[in-house]
Amino acid sequence: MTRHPFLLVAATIVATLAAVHTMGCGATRSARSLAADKVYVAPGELDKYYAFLSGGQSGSVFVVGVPSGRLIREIPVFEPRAAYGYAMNDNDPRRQELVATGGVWGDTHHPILSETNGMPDGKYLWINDLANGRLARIRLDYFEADRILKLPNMQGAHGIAVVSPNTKYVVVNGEFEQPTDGLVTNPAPYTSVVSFVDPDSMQVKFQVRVNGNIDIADTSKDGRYSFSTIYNLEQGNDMGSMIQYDRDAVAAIDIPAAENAVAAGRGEVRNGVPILDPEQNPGVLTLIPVPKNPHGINVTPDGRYAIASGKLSPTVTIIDAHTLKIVAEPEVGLGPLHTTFDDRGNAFTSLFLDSQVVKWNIDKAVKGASDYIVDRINIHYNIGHLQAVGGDHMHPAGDYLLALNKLSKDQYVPVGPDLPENQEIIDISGEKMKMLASFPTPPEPHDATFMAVSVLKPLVHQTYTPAADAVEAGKERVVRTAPHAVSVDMTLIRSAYTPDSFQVREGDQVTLKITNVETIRDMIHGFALPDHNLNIALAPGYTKTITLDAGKPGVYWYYCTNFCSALHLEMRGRMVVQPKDSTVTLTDWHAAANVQGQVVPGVPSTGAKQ
Amino acid sequence: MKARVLYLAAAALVAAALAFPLWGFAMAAPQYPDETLHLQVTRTGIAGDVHEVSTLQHFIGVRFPTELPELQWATRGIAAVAALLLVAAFTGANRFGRVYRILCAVALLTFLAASATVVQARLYQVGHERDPSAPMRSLHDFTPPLVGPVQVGNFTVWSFPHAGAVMLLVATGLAVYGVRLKPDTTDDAHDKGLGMDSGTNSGTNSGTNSVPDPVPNSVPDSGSVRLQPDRSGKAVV
Repeated sequence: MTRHPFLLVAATIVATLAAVHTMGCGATRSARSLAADKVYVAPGELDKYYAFLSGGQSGSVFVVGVPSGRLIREIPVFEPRAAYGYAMNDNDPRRQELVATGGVWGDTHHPILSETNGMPDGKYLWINDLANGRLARIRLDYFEADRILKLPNMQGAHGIAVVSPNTKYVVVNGEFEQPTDGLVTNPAPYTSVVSFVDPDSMQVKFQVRVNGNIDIADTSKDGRYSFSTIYNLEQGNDMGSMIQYDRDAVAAIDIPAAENAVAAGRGEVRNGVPILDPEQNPGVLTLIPVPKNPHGINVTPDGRYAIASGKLSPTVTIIDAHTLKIVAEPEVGLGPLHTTFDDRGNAFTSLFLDSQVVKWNIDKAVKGASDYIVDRINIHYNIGHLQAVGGDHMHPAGDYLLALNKLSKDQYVPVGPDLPENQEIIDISGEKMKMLASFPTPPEPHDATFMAVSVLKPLVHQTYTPAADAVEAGKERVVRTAPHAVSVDMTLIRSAYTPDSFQVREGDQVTLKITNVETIRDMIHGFALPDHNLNIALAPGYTKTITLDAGKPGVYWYYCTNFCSALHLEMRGRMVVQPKDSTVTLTDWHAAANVQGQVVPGVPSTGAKQ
Repeated sequence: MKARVLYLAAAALVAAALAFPLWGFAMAAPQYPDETLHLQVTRTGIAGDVHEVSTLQHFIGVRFPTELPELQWATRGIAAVAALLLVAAFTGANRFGRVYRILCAVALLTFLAASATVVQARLYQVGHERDPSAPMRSLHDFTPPLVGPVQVGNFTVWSFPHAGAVMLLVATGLAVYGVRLKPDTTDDAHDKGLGMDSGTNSGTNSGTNSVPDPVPNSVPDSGSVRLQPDRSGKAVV
């Protein structure tokens, strides 16, 4: 009997621990399923939002569904993509623009949407290339880049913003300073410019010179001001000299005043663009002093305040967006970089060093109340940008917030030393923030913006209307257009190329005009040509013209790279390259090979009897 | 007036049917989630998702009918039927008129039956006389029914009468019903020189309309003073 009390006590302890453990698990499981419920989008269902994430050094834009976090599409912009056949051939207009404006790679940071009445209208998305000072425009009806612009008189296109509420301009900040005369001989301190780009013509209308490095951009909601954070007012050229001053600035440019000065001819025209010097044009530029080396600038959805994030200072500076006066400078945490908003007067600021998002109440902070901090949530890790749905427009949704983090560390299975980037989806619909889910991406999203699926989906085309110069089925042909040039008009449809073979001669320049004559959506065909550095993809109705050198004599099988039908593997054809001195004529070879499509003898080849 | 309106309506329906698709096909497959393919057989040929269907059919060796000569005689047949019905609207109550209307109904029914037979034969042909060198091997022969579904590979193909055929069916129904209906006196037609039945005014076999005609044109609407047949065709006294 004496041993029994001990056993009883032991059994009780074990039972209690087990019960507590079970309860604990139950609670955890319930929290997990609640979070899962918020982001689960069942197969066949659609997400609520399109999220556009800049692709950073991938040079592209990632389209992610929210709340699921599913990567739906990559839109290649500054870098060729074989998978999409984007900018893969010298004849491609985007490739020509890329080559002419700085190269076939880019560093994209800030995706911004065209607005009508302060809300995204689904027409365009712009994205910058920080590295090569470029701005690209993406058509949202086709989700493809349609224009790439090199910004003159500046280097490093960093912050960009549309002028609200109706996209009068796209504002582009030049981050890397240049000699004021554009020549390396000028020993005077370097400066930079803010560019104002016409959204439709993609022409730079004017630029405003600003001393220092111009960083992030936003605009007031009434079209009056553009705001840019400036660091290095010292105009130093090394890190030590960039952080001397106690305060740098937010540059507010009075857009109507700048337009008037330009109209009055007060700009110094360089490379076709008038540049306004603020010293000679008072009223155009106002510098608002903020703690040194600030980073983000974000205007509240109601347009009352512009909020600059301190970066090296644990504060945000709240500026009245109409009077340009500082109204408060509350502490929020270490390394504040960017701020976004819900629909209930709260701001969310990313804290890079604290690896947190801090939620704070704008009114309380402005009034100096001590309880303006509402909540904090841990981020994994080193958050950069953050964006709440609609926080960058006039009517935020107040439901989801996306944290775009610089490091993922232990968040995913190890994949070697080059770890993926990490994004986290946070529920901001309640008083407390709730972490819902995370998803990895290739390098490296900086910023994001959102559009409601209900608004954008009806505007999206899923097939192309054939262009006027499209090749029609039945009108395919092979023509020798010059002694050393052959032109091929080709169509493709499940599951054949027409013509399914053609003959050229070593030394020929071959021009292929190819039309996908499919009319049903998602029936994409590829055209890959071995040993010619070529793959293109053609969506239904699309026409592409490519030029290539015929290459060495041989038989080259072109084939479909985009799985299309039960006969996909059989979808192929031949480019037969005859030796230079071959006497086989185009006509004879095509007749012998029983090629479909018209063969037009055209100009005789010099290499052989015709 | 009722019988005449009925026949005029039937004639109009038949004539109008030419402007509408006669037969329809809907094709659904898993990889066409919200984009079921549709074909319509019209007076002039096959319309609808022709491009896509003809792209698909070569996989199973179906020869997409590009020429349908029967549509030409179908068009003529429909026009003829419309003419028969138009004439029926002006037949009288005598024996000749009644026989004519019966023949009219029989002609319509015959036309429909013949059309259905021809269409069904075509459908059999589509499913059986296939290209033996077609890429897909395992597909069995099939016969789409005139109305209803058939499974063809991964597609469920529905056949159904389209607007034009529905109009023809309704017109046939009217023509059949018209045989039982007491015809109008053809006084109006007679007055206008369109009378088909010279014996109308004798009233010898009309049975229901024995009251002599009022003086023509004595009132603007002569019908309002005549005895009106009620819905059952009996005179209201």
